[in-house]
Amino acid sequence: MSTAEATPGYAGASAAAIGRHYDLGNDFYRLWLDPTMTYSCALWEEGDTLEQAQVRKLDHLVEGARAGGARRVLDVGCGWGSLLERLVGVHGVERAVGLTLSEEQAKTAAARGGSRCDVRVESWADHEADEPYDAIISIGAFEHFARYGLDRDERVEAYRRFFRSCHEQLAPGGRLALQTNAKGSNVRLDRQTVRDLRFIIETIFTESELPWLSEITAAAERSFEVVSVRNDAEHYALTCREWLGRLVANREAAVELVGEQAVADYERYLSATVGHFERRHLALLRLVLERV
Amino acid sequence: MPQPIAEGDVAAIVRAQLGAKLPPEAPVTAGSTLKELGLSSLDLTEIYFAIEERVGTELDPTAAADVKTLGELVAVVNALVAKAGGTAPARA
Repeated sequence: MSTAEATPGYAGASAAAIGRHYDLGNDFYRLWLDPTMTYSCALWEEGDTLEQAQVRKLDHLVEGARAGGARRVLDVGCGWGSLLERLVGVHGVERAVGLTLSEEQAKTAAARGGSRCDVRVESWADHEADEPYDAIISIGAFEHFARYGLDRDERVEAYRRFFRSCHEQLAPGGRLALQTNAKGSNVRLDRQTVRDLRFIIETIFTESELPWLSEITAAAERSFEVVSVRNDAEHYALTCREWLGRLVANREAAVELVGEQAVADYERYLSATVGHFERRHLALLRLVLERV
Repeated sequence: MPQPIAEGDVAAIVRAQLGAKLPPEAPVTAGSTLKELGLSSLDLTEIYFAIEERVGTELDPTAAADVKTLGELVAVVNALVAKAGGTAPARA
């Protein structure tokens, strides 16, 4: 019996785990994210502000998914709605559907997206579209699709379920643009790195685990062709450093909102993560995949 | 000079790492798989650190990447120790 058969299929982190992280309060995140409230790695060019780099990232993925001017686009893990807003506001998408498991995020995203957006508090595993999408974009959600402690086969199986679901929802030739953290190939961890990673897994991103690139491509086999892959680890180091600087600059207000411990936890997580990307313990992948 | 490590010592390190997560009556043997012991990749890294202290040399972490059982882990470690100029692995 294969491991995959022996283990009930894993369909992603629970709403409770997602809520614990993202429902800390919009006001808290507003203190250190950019004005678009985009909580994922930016795409930097010389001289960019954080906001410019975040918008550049959104546009890069929109272009990769060929979502510009599309009739229907799905955003898996829509966060506070920055992509939805841009899809309908700038890229002429007729209808954008956003999925999140966080109530707080959904309220904000729905308000921002307006009448051409449909925001649902729903997992991709439960989402049933009335008609196919022309493009799917998922930014910083894949990290929650496997839980810490699953082995490689179980992770691949969990990811395969996601790709199969995207395959069902996407019109033939439609593209999926995927941005996710991944494991970096530098596995020579020092003790402090191990302590910090354990802290992040146990305190910040519970019920989450990072993929290896090979697990993503294995899971996509036979349903998607890989069009492009890029690893922008240094872009995430830069993004985290920027977030940390803003959080530290707004420390007093942050402590008032979420308390000293939560602020200290976030400072530790962001500052450790800068080093993890710089030393390539972590990777930041942007993939474009085409449905076959 | 680096010293090889015995299975019993690795089993003790594994128990210490897992603490309360592993019931005291659960057997930890050469045939125990890392999966059934519930060892995550970070647990393994910490076990590796403890083993390095015991054998007295740094070990290549990539060498144990595909290890499935505790016995295989001991074999990989002792092969690295031998390569680093240690004494021949003791037979269990």
